[in-house]
Amino acid sequence: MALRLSRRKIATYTADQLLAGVSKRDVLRSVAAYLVDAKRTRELTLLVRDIEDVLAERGHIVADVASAHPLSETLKAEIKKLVGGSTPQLRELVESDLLGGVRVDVPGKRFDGTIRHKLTALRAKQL
Amino acid sequence: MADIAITELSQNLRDAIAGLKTSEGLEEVGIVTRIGDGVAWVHGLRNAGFSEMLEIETKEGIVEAFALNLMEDEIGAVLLGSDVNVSAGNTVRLKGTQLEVPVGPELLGRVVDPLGRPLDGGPAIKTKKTGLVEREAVGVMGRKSVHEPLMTGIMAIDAMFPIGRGQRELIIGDRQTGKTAIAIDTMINQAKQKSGVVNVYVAIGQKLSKIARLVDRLKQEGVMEQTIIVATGPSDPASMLYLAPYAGTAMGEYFRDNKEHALMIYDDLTKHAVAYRQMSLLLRRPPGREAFPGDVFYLHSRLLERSAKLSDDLGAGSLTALPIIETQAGDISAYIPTNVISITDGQIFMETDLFYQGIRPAISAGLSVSRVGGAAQTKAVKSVGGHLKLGLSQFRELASFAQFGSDLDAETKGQIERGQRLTELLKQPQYQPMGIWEQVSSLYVVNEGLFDKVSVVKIKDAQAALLTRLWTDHKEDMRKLNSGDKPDEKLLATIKKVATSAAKGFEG
Repeated sequence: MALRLSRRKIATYTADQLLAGVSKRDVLRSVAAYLVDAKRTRELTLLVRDIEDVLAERGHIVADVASAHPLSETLKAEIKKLVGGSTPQLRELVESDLLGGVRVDVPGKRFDGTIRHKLTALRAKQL
Repeated sequence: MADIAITELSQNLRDAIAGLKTSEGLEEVGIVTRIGDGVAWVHGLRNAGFSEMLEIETKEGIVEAFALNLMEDEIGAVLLGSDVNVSAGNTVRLKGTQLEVPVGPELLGRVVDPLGRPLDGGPAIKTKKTGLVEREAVGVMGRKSVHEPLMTGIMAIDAMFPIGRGQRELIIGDRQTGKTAIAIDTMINQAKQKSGVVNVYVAIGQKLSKIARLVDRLKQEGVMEQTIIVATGPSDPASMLYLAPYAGTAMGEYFRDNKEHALMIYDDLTKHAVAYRQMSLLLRRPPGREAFPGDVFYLHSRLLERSAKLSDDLGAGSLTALPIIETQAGDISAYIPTNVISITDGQIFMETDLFYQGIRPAISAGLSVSRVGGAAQTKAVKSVGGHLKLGLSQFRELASFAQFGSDLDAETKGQIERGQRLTELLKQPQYQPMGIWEQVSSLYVVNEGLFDKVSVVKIKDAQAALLTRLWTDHKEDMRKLNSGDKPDEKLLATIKKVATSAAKGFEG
């Protein structure tokens, strides 16, 4: 029986191929074929996160930015500076239940400056 | 070699540090991918360390966990609370610390859970210090050989299997044979003899009613002020049962490291191993013998190795351990019993048969042993208990011939009769630990054959009469004897005289 490849290895391979300029379609087709063959399609979401992790390590960062209200251009520029990397990309999301502030998710890391998070932390401290 | 401007090196390094971009406020996070049976599987957190604390952010608040399985793609973490509110997708943060519990004298008299939170309805516990739950044991040079006695107050133990401060002595036996009773009596004796030893009783998965009864009893006996109880019940998560002995040890170590003496009681390590087995199987670690994981020996060896007598340089404090193991049908060759027997410095084996014959404490003279305690035995007890174990073992072998009493030679008959009296004398009711003077005078009298004419059934009455007379008429001598020094000829003559007259009332 072939050895089970770790998600980390698959993600590293995929990211390296993409960064080397191999056609995105070809790379993703081969990864998809492997996942189907190995009956591991359920791991798709986690694999995407892992690929994002490896890409971030190589300087290509995609950040998910959630806020209670739409962000201003100045704030976006500030966030890009915080995130770092050569060409950071932002995926914006408006969530009114965050009450205020902003939450930035980059692969493996989070900046949580939302009021909801502060309230949760306060409650945990009181307990 | 190129010229290096060493004088500028410091400035260059400072400039380089200033030039580095920092991402302040960015915390390392992961997400829960699966949750069930108190185990959460976490994606991310590549920098997590073994046994590091994690915080899972749920809608209802923070749930703490600790990382035990560090794998290439995910982390297996055991929750320290209920998993009801944790769901897949919850954010997990690294706390950056290992598990610590409050330690210090503020805990004395309290009943706490393995995280040091009060369970007795008392005020919140505020200690000045905290102690690491998982800590390395003291090294070779930090130790000293066991040489001070830790009196249990149980004559059979103090005379035949003496325990020293810093020793690990296992109490092993089937259910309902009096294992916990020995541990409780030892705790009571520390208060009664004013030994200054702090007791830490760790209840692992014990019925809460049993713990409540124990607390009541300890309060009644005045022992609670020098006792800490770390309690976990059968309905607590396996992680809490797993942590309990380590947390208790951290609390005991505070006293050991501050030149004091502490006594740990782990009741019992069988349940601890079972809780660890549950955790390991849920973490998908490969099962071994009896489905226990491969590191179940290390589980207990690293715990018990923390009990030690410290060297003078480290303050000469001590941590003594009395772990308890429950056997099934007297089988001491099962996996966990053999493991713990090999780790400890001796064992006290409790026999069901003896218990039901009314010989209580039901200590088996043949299977029990104390490997290092001999050096710690008080001279007074040693002077009268030297050949006790051999005599009692021989008697138990010969006892089966007792029914053919008339056909035996005089020597064997004498041995059996002495053994019967000795067995009777070693019976001791619960919660009545004996002082050194009581033990020495009782044993001396039987060894010298002064009670040979007293009928076996009246031995305990004769002993009570002897002790009452000695205490009433020779209080100062008995106080001197209680200091532990070898009794002189004059003192022994006094005991002999009193015993001879006390025996007269019980002959026949």
